Amino acid sequence: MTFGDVDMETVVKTENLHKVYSDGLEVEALKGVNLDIERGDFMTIAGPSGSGKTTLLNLIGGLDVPTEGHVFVEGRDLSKMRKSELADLRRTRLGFVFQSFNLIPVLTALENVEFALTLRGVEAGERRDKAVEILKRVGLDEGMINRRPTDLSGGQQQRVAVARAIVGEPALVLADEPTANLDTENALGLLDMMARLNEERGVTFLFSTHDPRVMDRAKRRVTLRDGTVVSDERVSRES
Amino acid sequence: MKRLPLMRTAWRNVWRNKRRSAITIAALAVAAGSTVWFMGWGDGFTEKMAEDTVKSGMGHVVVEPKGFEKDPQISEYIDDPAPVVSLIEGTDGVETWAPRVEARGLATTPENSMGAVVFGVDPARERRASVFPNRIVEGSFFGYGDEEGVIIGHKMADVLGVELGDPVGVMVQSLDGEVRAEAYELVGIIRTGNPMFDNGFVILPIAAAQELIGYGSGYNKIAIIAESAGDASKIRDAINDRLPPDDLEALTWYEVSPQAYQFYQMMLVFMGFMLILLIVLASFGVTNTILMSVLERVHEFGVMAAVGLRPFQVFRLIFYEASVLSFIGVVVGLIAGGILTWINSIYGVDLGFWASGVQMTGLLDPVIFFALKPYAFVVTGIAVFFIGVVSSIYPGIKAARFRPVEAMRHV
Ligand SMILES: Nc1ncnc2c1ncn2[C@@H]1O[C@H](COP(=O)(O)OP(=O)(O)OP(=O)(O)O)[C@@H](O)[C@H]1O
Ligand SMILES: [Mg+2]
Repeated sequence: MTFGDVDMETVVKTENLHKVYSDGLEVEALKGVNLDIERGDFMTIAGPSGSGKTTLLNLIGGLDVPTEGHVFVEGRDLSKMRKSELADLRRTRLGFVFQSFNLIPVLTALENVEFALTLRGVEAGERRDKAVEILKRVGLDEGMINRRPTDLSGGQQQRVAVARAIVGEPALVLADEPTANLDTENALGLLDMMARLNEERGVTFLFSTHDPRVMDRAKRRVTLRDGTVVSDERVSRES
Repeated sequence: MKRLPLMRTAWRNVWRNKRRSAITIAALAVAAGSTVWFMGWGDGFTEKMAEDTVKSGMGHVVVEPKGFEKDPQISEYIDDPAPVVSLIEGTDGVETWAPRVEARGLATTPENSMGAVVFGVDPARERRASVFPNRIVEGSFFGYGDEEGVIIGHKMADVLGVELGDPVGVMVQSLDGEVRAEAYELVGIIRTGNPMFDNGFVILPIAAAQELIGYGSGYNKIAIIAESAGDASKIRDAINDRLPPDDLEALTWYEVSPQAYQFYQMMLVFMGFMLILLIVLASFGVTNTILMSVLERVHEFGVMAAVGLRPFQVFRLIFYEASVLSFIGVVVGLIAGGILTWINSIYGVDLGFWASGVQMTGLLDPVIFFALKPYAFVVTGIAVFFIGVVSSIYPGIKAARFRPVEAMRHV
């Protein structure tokens, strides 16, 4: 990092990442992935089904352990961290959005978002205001926030999940096909909001997606095929 | 870290699968309820046994020649009771005392005879010392003043075929080694509910018994009634301290009547065994249902882990769920068990069908009224709650150990 440069600090670094699934048939899902994710990246990982997108996201988030290689998040080697330390890291630095079944079913939409804030030690009063506000921003109707996930549509659930992931303003949001269940209007709304968080607060976003609506907004696009990175392009754009 | 709404989450989780929660609660409730019920029975039984043993002539404390209880020899008796009586009367906590002459003998009619314990009592004192005077079903407990005649149990009267007014022969070996017999008019028939008395006792006024055996003014035993049952051992010690050594001794009722005590301990072992079985079953059931509920929610634990819940917090969630279930189970069980125990404390349970057991215990009537004691509820409540939450440890550890991604893949 030189004086005057843009801050290109590395948030995530993967080193020769391999993942072999061996329950039943042996599948090598990742075959040596080296990737540096810089702070402020708004990037997508694309690739055909089975190319290893979800696997990569899980390894970066410390949800699973690589067969070989290392993941560094903000300079810390995940393989050297204990389970509770990984939990602390996820709680304080990361936000997750999964493809489906994201929420804690016994908690309402509002409570699910609040839960994440509670985990981060936010005071009760502030917690509620923040949660209500973020739910509004992801486009969840006022009347929906006290419903439990089972009483929400897939798209609504997804918005709550996004709200929960970003409400604590993590350093890095990992989202596995976050727009898969959303109509265009909602998908674009979510993307706008995430782009704004990225611009204004410098939150780093990593999406796995096939969705051209998401790819269009990306500042960096990585493509995986058969567990290896086949392309990594930065999109220069004005604005 | 701020307080997580783990308890609230746990509470809601409990009501997600109502059927399963109901099963868990029921298992714990049955354990708690039957424990309370058993304890009520045990306490009621002990109380009654103590009371009946005391009431059936034993007293709370008895003074007798050393070794008399094990080997009652006709030659062993208190030949000069006066100083002993004044010692007893001078002891704190003594309410009253009653003398006894006891010997093995026969009850006879011209046609029949049967073995019997000849029991000589002071009718006036006996009215305050034992229950026999109240168990007269025909005739009276000797007269007031004219203490004559004999009293026998209703079964013995049937066997001998005698009625009030008939003569009953009593035969014993006397102090000088000769067999002596005397006939007395049947003045009363008792019914206690215990065959040992109803079929084997011949009660004589003490003067008649003393004369028959040749004791003069001597007694075999002096039964002491304490003001409070709990003072028995204190009174025993106080008397033993002042009794002439190597001669007489004071014993508490439970030392005198070891069969009853052994029977009681046997009951305790049996009950303990039942309870352990019940508790093992309950904890097995609870572990199982909680484990099932954990395995059904694997995905959810993955989400929690992804959000940043530490393994220990996941463990706590399961622990809280078990606490909620245990608490409800305990409350339901204690209420149900309490009601049952309460009913049995009013109506009792008749052990009449089990005569040999009843005889062994020395119970007067075979109806046990359960005791309803607060301590039983406290002990049971704590124990069953503890069992419930301990049963969640294994499922809790399991939930905490799920690898997030494996959990997430689980739908
Ligand atoms: N738990 C597992 N056990 C065995 N094989 C697995 C497991 N999870 C993933 N795989 C395999 O690893 C490869 C990569 O899977 P991954 O889920 O990362 O793909 P993906 O790019 O996310 O696909 P999609 O676009 O369909 O979500 C696939 O061949 C998949 O079958
Ligand atoms: Mg995937």
